[in-house]
Amino acid sequence: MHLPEIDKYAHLDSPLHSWDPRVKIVSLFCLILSMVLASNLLVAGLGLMLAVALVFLSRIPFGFVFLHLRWVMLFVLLFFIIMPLTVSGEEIARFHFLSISRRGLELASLIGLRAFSAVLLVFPMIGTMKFSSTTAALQRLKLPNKLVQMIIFTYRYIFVALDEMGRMFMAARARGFRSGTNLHTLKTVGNLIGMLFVRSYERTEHIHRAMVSRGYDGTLRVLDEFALAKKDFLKAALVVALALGLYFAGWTL
Amino acid sequence: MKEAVRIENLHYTYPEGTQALKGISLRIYEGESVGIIGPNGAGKSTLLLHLNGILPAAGQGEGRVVALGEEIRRNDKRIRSDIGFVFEDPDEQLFMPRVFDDVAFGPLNMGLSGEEVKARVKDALRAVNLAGFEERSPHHLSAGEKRAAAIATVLSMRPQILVIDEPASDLDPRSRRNIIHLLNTFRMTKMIATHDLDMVLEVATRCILLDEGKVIKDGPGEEVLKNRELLEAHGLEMPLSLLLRSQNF
Amino acid sequence: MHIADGVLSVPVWTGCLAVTAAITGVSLRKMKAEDTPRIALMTSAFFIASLIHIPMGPTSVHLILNGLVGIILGPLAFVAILVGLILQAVLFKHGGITTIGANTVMMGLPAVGAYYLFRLHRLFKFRVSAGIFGALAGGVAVFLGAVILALLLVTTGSEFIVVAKLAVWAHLPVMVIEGLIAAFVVTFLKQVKPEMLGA
Ligand SMILES: Nc1ncnc2c1ncn2[C@@H]1O[C@H](COP(=O)(O)OP(=O)(O)OP(=O)(O)O)[C@@H](O)[C@H]1O
Ligand SMILES: [Mg+2]
Repeated sequence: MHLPEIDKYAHLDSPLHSWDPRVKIVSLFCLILSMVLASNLLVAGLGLMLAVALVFLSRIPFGFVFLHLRWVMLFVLLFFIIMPLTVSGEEIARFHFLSISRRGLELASLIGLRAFSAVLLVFPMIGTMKFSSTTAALQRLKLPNKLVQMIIFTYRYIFVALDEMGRMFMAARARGFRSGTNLHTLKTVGNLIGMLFVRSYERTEHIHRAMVSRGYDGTLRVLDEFALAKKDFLKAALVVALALGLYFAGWTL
Repeated sequence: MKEAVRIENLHYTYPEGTQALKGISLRIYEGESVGIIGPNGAGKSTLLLHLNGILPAAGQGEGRVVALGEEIRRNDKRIRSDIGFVFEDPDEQLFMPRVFDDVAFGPLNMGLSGEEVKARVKDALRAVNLAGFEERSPHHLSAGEKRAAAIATVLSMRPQILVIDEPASDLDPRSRRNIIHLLNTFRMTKMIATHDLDMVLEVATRCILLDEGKVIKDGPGEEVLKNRELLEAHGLEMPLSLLLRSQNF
Repeated sequence: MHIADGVLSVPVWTGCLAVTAAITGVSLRKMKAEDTPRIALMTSAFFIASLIHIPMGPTSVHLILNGLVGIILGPLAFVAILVGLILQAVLFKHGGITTIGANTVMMGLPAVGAYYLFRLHRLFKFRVSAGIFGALAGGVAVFLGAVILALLLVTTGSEFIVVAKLAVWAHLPVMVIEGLIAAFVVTFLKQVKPEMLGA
């Protein structure tokens, strides 16, 4: 198993990388909103083009982006298979007893365009900075401190748990475990998961101890390393204007 | 010599009923480097945890621990920035996704200014030879680097007493050598619990042998470590370097 | 079962976001300082465990585990699931940004339900009662999740009725697998670390 590292390309240099994390998150969130609200195919298509352009601008390799689109593709595919066949409306094609409706096809396409645009924008939004900058920005944006802490610690220990899980599966395989569609597989996996939970549970006390001994009182403090410049607001104005443009284009087009 | 730590008749029983410490009394002076040795389950870690007041409050205990002139109680929530505690597993000491944030964690909780925090992080990382590792993630560090980073997380608090549990377990010879070298560069009072008796010989001026929750022997490092019968009676082996010397190689 | 961006209607996803924010607000206030690292560590364990694929005939399914999250974390499971979903959306692009609320409602409410269902096992004294209630809680949590998913889709528009029905059907085998896994995990924990089950 391998965990994708969202901030693998945080070290690159682009207008998105140099953008203040807080302003970047808020502005691109507005853009995501405008994509999700796209009410017709033309606007949604424009949105997708804009999203692709922003990924391009971020210099994050398309290969990396593409690898992460698996889930959205599966999700959208489901709608593409079902909606054209089941939504009633003008028939545009017919194969034997299957009739394809225009409305169903349009609806599925709209969903697909919106879903892909939104997901693509996550790369310029989060992939252009270290994850620690993202969480620091979320904290500055007044997300509850405890929630941010949980995101930070969970993220950190995902990697530890992954190693542990890998080792446990390896040990199980070394003792002849092969997974298949049977009760034995479920039982083995259940025990391995149980073991993983126990290890994590036992670790919490130690970690809490290590935190308390360095002065932790329940609140996480981070250094304010952000500095706003005029450029940050210019970029924000541009992106928010695009978002509004898309939104109002939906009314008129 | 000024006293750094005084432990008087310390007892502790875990909530599950294990009697881990059975009447420990010790005095440690400023600038001393004390190696604490003993077989598994001897009570080394439990003893060290008392210096931080972070043992389960449900446990039963009696006795007193005074560090730097102040009595330490169990579950004392005050910030003890003058006692730096490095735990056994670096993955439990490094709980932030970035080395910088881990090393800055203590200083930020001490309420230091941004500039001061940054300066301390820089110094601490330089002191453990990890200058430039600020942006790295702990899960991308080698075991030796993790160990060093874990030490940096408490150095940044500028402690007067450094307490370390098992600083060199699962390190390769070179990383172990680096840690020994590091420990020897630190001038503060040190208390180091370990099974690595050769390391004790190199970093400690004094050695305390614990077993079954009691102090069995307390004396200058080499003197304790040379006592082969004593060590073997408590499940330990004489350090290889001394063994070789005693057999006149 | 994660909903991506762009499907749900605005009232549906904003409504779910509001529900999530409200429950999260209350939960965070109830959380003690030492709960934070505990919930976070368990969340990372759940996160990794949910990457496990269970072979099912020619294909495989990955685990959801929301029932187990509830059994182990109680009402705080809701926040744990929110955090897990945020990270899944960011790391795997599984789920969505605007649908964080909908996905959390869909998996988190059944998780809390599973907790109360599982607690009933204490009323029974026979030896395997924990395992049986674990299975029930694990299975029911998945089923309720699928039902909420269907409701969200149907509320969005009548065009989604078939997709919604299909989603519920598709979750039936998953429900069985999740129930069995939950039973085995609970039985294991009962032996090894009963205090994790609130004993
Ligand atoms: N959290 C705990 N709960 C219950 N008992 C414990 C706990 N930690 C330690 N003990 C018990 O207390 C005794 C002393 O343990 P301690 O960890 O202090 O020994 P140690 O000398 O550090 O051993 P090691 O060399 O294995 O690290 C042991 O019998 C151990 O089983
Ligand atoms: Mg120990």
